[in-house]
Amino acid sequence: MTAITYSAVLGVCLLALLVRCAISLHGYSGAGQPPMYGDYEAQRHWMEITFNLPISEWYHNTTNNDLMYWGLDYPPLTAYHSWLCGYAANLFNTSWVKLFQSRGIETQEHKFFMRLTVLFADVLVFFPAVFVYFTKCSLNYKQMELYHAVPFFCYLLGSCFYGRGFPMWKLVKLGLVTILTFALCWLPFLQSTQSAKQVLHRLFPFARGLYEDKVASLWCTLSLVIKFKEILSSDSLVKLCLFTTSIALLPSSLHLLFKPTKRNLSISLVNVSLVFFLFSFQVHEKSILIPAISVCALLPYYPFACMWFLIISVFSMVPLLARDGLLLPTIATSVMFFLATCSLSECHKPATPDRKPSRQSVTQRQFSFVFWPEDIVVVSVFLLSMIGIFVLGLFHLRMKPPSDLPHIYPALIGAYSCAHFVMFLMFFHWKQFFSQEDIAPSKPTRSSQYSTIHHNMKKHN
Amino acid sequence: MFWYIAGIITALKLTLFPSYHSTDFEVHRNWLAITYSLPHKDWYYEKTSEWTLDYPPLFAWFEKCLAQIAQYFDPAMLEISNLNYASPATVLFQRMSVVFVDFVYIYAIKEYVTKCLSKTQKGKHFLISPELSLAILLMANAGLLIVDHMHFQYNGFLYGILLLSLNKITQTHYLKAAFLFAVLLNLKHIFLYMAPAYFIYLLRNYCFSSNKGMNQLPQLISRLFPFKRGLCHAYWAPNIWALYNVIDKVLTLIAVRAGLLTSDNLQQATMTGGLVQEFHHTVLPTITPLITLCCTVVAIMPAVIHTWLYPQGTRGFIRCLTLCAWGAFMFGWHVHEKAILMVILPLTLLAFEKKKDAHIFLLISTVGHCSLFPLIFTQPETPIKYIIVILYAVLAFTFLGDIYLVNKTWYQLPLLSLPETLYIVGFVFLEIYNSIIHSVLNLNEILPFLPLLLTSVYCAIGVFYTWVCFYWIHLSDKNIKIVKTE
Repeated sequence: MTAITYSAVLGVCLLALLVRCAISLHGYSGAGQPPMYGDYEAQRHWMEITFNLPISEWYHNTTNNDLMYWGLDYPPLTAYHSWLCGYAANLFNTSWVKLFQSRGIETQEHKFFMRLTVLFADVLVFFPAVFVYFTKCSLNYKQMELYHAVPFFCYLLGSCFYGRGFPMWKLVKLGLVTILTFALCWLPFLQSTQSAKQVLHRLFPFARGLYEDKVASLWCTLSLVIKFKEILSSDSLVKLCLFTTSIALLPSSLHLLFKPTKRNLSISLVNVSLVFFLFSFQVHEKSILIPAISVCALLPYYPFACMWFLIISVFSMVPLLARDGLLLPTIATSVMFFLATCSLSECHKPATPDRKPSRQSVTQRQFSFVFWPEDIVVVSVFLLSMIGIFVLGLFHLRMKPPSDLPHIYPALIGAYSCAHFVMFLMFFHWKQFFSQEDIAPSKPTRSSQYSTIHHNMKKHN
Repeated sequence: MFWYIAGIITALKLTLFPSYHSTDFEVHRNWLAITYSLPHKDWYYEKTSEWTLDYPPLFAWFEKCLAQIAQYFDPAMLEISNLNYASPATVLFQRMSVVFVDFVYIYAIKEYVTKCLSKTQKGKHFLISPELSLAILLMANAGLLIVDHMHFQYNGFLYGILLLSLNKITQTHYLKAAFLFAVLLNLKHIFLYMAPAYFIYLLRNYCFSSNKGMNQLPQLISRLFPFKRGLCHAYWAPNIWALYNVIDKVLTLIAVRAGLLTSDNLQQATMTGGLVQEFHHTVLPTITPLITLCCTVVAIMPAVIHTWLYPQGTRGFIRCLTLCAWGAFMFGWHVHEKAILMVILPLTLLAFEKKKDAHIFLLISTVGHCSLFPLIFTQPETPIKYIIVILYAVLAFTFLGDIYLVNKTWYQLPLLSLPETLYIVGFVFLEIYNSIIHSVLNLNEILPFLPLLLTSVYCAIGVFYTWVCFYWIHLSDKNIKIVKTE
């Protein structure tokens, strides 16, 4: 790495940090809305619970732990993280985690502390992970990361059989590592089957129904026409979801199982998490971030499609974001991200002869892609889609809904996004199966990998 | 590419909307109200708010124009009696107005980099072109982001007009340049500091004179030049007087130790530091406005005379302009720390011309931006101010180091010598002390102004050193180049 690369990495990290800090000045979920407040209070409450109560009470309804008030419903690693944060909070100000008394606390200092805990986690985990890519541990962190588990499983299983050496021994190693990691995280809860069951029960709340609010999942969108909740019992709905999700998972997973390349893993992560989002039981608007993060990883390969997907994914959360007063930063950061991607594609311009090739910038080699497709039809469809976003957004924010259909705009936003997601699901499946040459095979050097992509992209266009 | 970057920086400004804003926010709201609801003859007499109109008339008209739009956001902000009014719509409007008029600045930058940047450096870079790096360094100026989009002022707009005027000078359209500068003076009179440079340069390159007059002149002048205020602003701007105050303080302590002063004298000079603006010197002679005026004139004269004797085209002019602003900053009466931007921004242009200037720019931009830290003192914004300044420094050192192809060593910042590097690194320790150690040691009650004093003095040393270096560069450059108008 040259000094310039170091500066570039430092610059990008600082910019990312700056944007996060600036956003942290804005509102948060449930600010000033007693008695339940929002996710901010949920996270704070977990700090209070984990800091004050013995580990055995964390997931149980007791006199000190009212599960109806933001009971812990994330896997154990998150609970440990909350405990660490709670410990830190107690160092700064004991009133922030006082059992019961600290509920709904909303001071400047506390908000700053909460924002700092997020920033710290980002800098310590997310920033390095962006460079190192996903880690296995994320599964224990948030059960929603299960969305990503299937491709990882298929990839690892597939590479056991297709690599050199004894497949069974690799399989055993793989199984051991996975089981050990899980065992380590779950150790305190494995003393009795009852306590482990309770944790599981908290993590998968089937009691909550097919969907909450209006969300861009297939079920919510179809329910505009067919009222599933009325036709079927909750039990059969769970089974229906389980069945359709499994079926939809198969193509991408099997393909990965038989061709476990890194390229297939990257695209399969998108496909599988998107299938989970669209088909599974009880999805939340925010769950779209899970497919979105895998789409981000594909950004250098399919910049245009990925950007389009990311814009839609943000749009699908607009009702949620607008409720928290976060519309302005949403627009600002989306514009920023869009322009940054476009500007990186400008770097693609061929080197001028007066530049020495030996010191040609690293940035140029790594981010050489063309953003706008040459096909005018695709661009016009994209522009139409953007106009749709604009119109729907404007209606949602400015117009009063008709009194007999109070949730019409969020529902329409959900349906509009869902249609896009289905389209993207097909697009990425098609890419996974039929365009092997897009992304170079497993283990080339970094630069040659990028130049191959660049080459192929040009060929493609 | 330019517009992508401009868009990204504009979007970043939007995210800073809810950040802390100083009393300047109320100042400008009050001016909106005054200009909107009163006939123009009463503007400079109105004093319901303590923040009377103290910018020149053109700025007042500018506020009146803004007020025409403001009424659609929230008419309540236009009532004079509505002191300290800051509804969400008011904040949105005021912040938006700053972001919007900043496009004058962005346009001026675009003009400068496409038409005026000398092509000497072309082809020597490897990262990004000098045009683009200059544009980024100007647009993303940390000081402007902090002062305009957090603290709240319209500096970007004003510097945009200054830059447009400089463009015209470069293109030898002297009448247009003079017009734009006159407009600028009528928007904010602080640019009077730069007037000697304009005067001499235009006199030498183009014969120029102008006259202005008004009946309300005495009242207007008393508002514009508030000599009733103290020598130093609440927080001492890092100039000669900050050093002078500290030397006086040290001498006082020594004198007391030696028994030369009684404790009565000492009482008078205790460290009330910031809040009381009147500052009586105990040992050294007390400074009057006249002295500061004389000092400023003396400080500016060599630069101006040199420009007269050895005119060197635009580069010489911008150097002279910078030295005028710098001289006024070093010796002026009641100088604001924000005025350092008048030095940093023209120097940004010079940094892309000569390596020597780039060296000065890197030093003064880092020191100057650090000297702005006390402006933002609220907790949530603390990380933001640090990140903005560090990010800007990283960009500046990388771009200029790349352009001038310096040999990099791990223990030295590009273009800087070892002691200078150590001085810059010292800011890290200074800020760690100011924001963490000082409060951990519970010194806030006993020595509340110590962090401000330390920042002020530490920066003053850097500003003074850089000023001397820059003066030396200007005076030792003795080529003659007269640029006649076309």
